[in-house]
Amino acid sequence: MMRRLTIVTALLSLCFGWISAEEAEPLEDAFEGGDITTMNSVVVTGTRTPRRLKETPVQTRVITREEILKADATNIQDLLQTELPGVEFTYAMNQQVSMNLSGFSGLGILFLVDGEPLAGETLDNIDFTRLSMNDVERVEIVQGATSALYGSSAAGGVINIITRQDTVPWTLHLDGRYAHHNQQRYNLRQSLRQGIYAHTLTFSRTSSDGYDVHNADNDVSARTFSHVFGDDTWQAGYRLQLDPTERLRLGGRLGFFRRTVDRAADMPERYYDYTGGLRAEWTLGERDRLEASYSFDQYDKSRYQSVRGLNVRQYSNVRNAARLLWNHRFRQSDMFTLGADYLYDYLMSNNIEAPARQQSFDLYGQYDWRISPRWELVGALRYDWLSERSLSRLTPKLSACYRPAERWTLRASYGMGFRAPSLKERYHDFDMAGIWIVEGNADLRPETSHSVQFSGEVTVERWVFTLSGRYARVFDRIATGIPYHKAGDTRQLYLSYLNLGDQNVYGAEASVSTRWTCGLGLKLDYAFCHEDVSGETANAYTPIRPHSLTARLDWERQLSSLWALNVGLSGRALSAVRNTEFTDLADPAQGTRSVRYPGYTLWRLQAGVRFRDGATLTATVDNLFNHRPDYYYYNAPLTTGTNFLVGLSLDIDRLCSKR
Amino acid sequence: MRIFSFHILFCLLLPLPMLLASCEGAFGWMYDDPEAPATPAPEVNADRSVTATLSVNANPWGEWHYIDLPEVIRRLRADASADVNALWVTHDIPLEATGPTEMVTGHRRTGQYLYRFDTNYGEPIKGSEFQSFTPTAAQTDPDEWSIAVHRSEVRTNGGSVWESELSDIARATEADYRHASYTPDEWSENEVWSDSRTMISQLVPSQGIAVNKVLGRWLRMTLMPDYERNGHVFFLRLRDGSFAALQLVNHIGGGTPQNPSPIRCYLTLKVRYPLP
Repeated sequence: MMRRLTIVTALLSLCFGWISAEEAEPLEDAFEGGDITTMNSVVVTGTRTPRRLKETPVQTRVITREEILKADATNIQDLLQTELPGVEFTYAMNQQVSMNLSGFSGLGILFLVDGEPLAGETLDNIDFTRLSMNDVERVEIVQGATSALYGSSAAGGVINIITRQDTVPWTLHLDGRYAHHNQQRYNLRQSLRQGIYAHTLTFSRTSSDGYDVHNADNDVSARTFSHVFGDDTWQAGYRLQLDPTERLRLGGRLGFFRRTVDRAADMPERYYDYTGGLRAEWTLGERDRLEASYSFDQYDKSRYQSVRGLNVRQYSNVRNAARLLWNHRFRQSDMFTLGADYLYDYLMSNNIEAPARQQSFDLYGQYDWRISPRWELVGALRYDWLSERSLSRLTPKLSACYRPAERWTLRASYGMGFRAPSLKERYHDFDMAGIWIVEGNADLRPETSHSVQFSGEVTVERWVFTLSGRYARVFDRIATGIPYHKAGDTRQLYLSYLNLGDQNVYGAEASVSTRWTCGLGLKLDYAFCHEDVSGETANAYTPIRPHSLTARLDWERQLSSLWALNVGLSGRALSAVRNTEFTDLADPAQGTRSVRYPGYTLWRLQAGVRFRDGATLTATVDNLFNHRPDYYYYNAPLTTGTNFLVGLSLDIDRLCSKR
Repeated sequence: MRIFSFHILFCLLLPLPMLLASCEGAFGWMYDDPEAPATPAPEVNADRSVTATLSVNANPWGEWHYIDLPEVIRRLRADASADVNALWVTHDIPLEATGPTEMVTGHRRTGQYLYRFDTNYGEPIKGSEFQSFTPTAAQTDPDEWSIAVHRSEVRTNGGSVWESELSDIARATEADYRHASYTPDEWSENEVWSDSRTMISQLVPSQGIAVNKVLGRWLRMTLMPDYERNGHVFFLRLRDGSFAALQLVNHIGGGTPQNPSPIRCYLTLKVRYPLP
């Protein structure tokens, strides 16, 4: 599989699960039809209420714990690019990561952990290395405009990471992995449940050396690079949960993250995150449920001046969020949801004149109308108010679900989305080594989008087939324009954030999955995406590749009561893509050219042997066919060829249990 | 019940540090103050030489910064607390064309030489290729100066330099500096990068001027824009025949509470002068 830039990782600041462990059905019990371990999973993201995946009226993609383990993913970036077609992580501005999910940049994709927002940004979204997979139960992905439930940052979709909840008295998990470039990963997870009390302690460490990559002669782009930076992450988290009564659950959490990147040996970059939160879930009666939460997240960047021994902070983004959610179930199973959020967003950076602050408040309501066993309709309306320029927006969403037969599900939805300009887009002035100055624009208008999507899902014997299509139109898209000179200054180039124009995004996805009784499982996912964009931009980001495919074939065999064997072959294939770029960024007058970025495919073969269901030794051949890009640029995989990984995982509680 | 109460209390108090944090963040104690550290006081050595610390922001692409070492020592002898950094003098690099751009080189005329550098962000320079020459006025210098710095490049005022293996300027007199082999300034037309604004296109105009390539080794760009400092003690033979020891002790500095961004090529030097 692709050699990832994210050689890194770390945990996440764990939160409390929205869904109680009792509600989550064991994967083994899932779905009478065959594999299809995900269909009975409980999901919450699409409607903000717990629903089984096969019943939710909003199309939701789930990556289960089992799939996370098979992917051997270190962090969310690893996981998404392994499991999800139509997503691509690219590199710009000295190998910082940006994201494109089905035509939407990372700026329009909202990442949540147990429903709580995250602070900080690297290029166009959060620091993905924060989101370790060590303590993740599942990942829920809802694409399309979800602003009616999640607000400004969710115009392109929501990715909600749900942390693990244990039901056994205690667990102790340890794992380690080693690979080429001295890539190391270590995880520890310990949990305890006693009476009304439960806690989870997590710790993760990853590190990797930097390494050189070699480009062919006659670079097609001046943007190639010849060194991939190493990094080092540490992460720790603690979660506490109390169930003082059957109807009340209380929780608290704390987390810390640190990452060092050696982009410059004389001044390494450091990233920190401090997080904490409180949550209460109160079942008021058989029909009512109330949730309240408070979340604190502070993401800082600093540079360490090695000679003077100074660690000077240059950036700090602090988010304090409070949330209230009330669900009421009517007699006929209809569900009414009413929620409100408050967010205080603070940004300090050496690239803005003075710290920027923004408060936002929202109120939303949703009615889930179960018209009949076959028909269900969900309507939602949300009002957002942002203190910056007193911006307000009303966004609706409507979803319909029809089940013509037991194993058929058809869904359709419309959503209006909006994305308010970020504080960075409004106020950041960034001098890019004198080459140009990226200027914030306080007068930006919000992006507005409308999206529709349809999907069909059918189960035949042991097979599950899914087909979906979507269209989105984005108005007043925000991006940096083309470089220009200001009046009276013919030397310095400027790049300003502008409302550039409109964007049309068309997409389709198809997937098939099955598992046979012999232990063989197959999963194929294909995605098509096409973007039409108006307005000239010097943006470094390449458009989404039109075609992408992820595949996994795995086989598991219980050899004896003690030993089991599993083998998996997985891969992804991405088509070529063309991008229109300026011939000379320093002289836009020279015009543009079309640059073709070639497609590629990466495959991984993994074999593991498991003892007593508690100790697993895994050997992996990554990038099986030894793919090496001719040029290393924005969207090339950061692989240097075939890579070998070896890992050991220990579940001490299982090894100690009597069987 | 006691255990229950304890857990409730613990659960509620757990995130208390966060709740108590201001809405605008906490943990400032994790970081250092960006203000520059105090300059060490000058030392008078047994051989009557003075060891002083000098700092200058040599980051701007279009400037040379000059210092006159004898004057620095004179001031410090008169007043040990004198602000000798105020003695740095800045002159702009002439960029205005005084004639038409030409496609020839090798004539060693003063002006701007445009080179295309084979490099990218995050990688070493692999080579360079001459593009064009634009004549400009000659560089103007102060009346009295010993060395001039521009980012990592250095010029001497008729001096020459020897690089020792010493890494402690206090031991400078242990070196046989009087009999070492000294290197004078040499002509250069692709080292003094004078403008970064076309760097995105790998085109960098450089000033045609003589620089001291030995003393310039004290700071070398490795991976762009990463610099590697050479901590050796360098010996400068001034035009008048006197000797100074120079050591670059830091190349990153600057930053204020308002703008904590550290600056590369913010040079801090130790100078010992005059050597016996």
